[in-house]
Amino acid sequence: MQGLSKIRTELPEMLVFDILAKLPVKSLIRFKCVCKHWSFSFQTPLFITQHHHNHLRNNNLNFIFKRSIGNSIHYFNLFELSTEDGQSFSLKQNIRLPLCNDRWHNPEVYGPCNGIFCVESKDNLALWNPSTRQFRILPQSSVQRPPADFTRFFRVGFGYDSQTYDYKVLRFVSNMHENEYGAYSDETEQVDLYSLKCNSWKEISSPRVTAWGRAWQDNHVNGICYWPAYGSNSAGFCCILSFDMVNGRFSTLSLPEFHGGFVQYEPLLLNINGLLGAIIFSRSWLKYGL
Amino acid sequence: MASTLKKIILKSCDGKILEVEEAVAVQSQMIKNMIEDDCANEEIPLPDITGEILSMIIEYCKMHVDGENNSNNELIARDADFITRVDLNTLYYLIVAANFLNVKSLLDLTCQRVADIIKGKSPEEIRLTFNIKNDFTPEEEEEIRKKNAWAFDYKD
Repeated sequence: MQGLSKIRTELPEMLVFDILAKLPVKSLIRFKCVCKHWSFSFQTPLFITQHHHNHLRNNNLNFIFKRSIGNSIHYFNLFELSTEDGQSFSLKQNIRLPLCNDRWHNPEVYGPCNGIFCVESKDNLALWNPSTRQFRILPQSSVQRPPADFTRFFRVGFGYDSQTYDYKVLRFVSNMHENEYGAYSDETEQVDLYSLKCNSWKEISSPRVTAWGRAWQDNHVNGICYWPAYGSNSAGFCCILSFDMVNGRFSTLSLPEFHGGFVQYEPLLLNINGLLGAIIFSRSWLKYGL
Repeated sequence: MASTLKKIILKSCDGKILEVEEAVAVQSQMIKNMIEDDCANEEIPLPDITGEILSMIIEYCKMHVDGENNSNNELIARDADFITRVDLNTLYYLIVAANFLNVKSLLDLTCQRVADIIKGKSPEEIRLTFNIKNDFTPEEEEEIRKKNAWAFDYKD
């Protein structure tokens, strides 16, 4: 590699930042200590957007996560798929996630959204940026709960509000009572919404249907999260529930019809190249279709 | 039929005159706008671009016009061949000129090349190259290095 020499021509700052926006994240983090102005500029939404845009175009973001357990230390292995044959992959980095310390408990991961993941482990939530290795544990929700014997958190939605440049996490909460036979019933549902900008939770009104879904899937498309949902009276799925990260409202869409229907098949909603797609698989686990 | 291709005349800051086919010249969005506004009938003076840099830019634009029908991979290979022949200091002049003439693909190519050259360097080397004064106290700088120790592992 050629050595560096002092630039003889004066490069306007705008062009210097055009160059910097093409650097890998690792170099940028190292160059944060070049001067205060650079350190500050790397954190502006304008620079972050430009950098993200450059790297979406230049890179194929193909990777695989694998959880591995060492001597009481838990890592996520980040593998990068080879772009040449799409078959082989190599270990890119081992990342330690502070939240996931229980070897018997599997953390759930949602996203990515602009390269950021939402990690859930034993009701604790965190946002994780594998490129910068930043890991931020979210505060516990301060939303008031009605009296209940047991509070259960389920279904997480993670997305980006492009109007306020804010990341939001939505969580469905179920407050349950124990009946005389020891079983939990009489659920009261709540929905909590977290804003990264405010670093706090608030309660929003619940939809009339119940969301269903799995982690390890990206159900966020253009600022909207989607789940298959069922109603209180229906035996199977009745609609697609969506939540708009910008206006903070729930809506419902009808499910597509197909032979066999949702009595025999389960849908998995996910982002396929920027469009909402569904993978339908048989409840008997024998067949699947796209 | 006496059909001749229209030529655009460019004049560098050191007085070099270059005649360029219009199809090549319009790779520059700035010249394209001048032609559309009917301002390119006489020689176009380029006050901050030397003849050497201008010749390189025209070589690049010509390569892209000639290679229009080539596959994307062939173009990428030609771009790589073109850019790896250029030393760092010339790259900076090319960046300034590509920005002034508004040749977007060349600006991207040159900036990416500089990024590839500097990506493995230390903050000290970067300060020296870009003539930047370190305004962190030693304690502040140490704090950043400690917090991001993984980024100072120069292995890859």
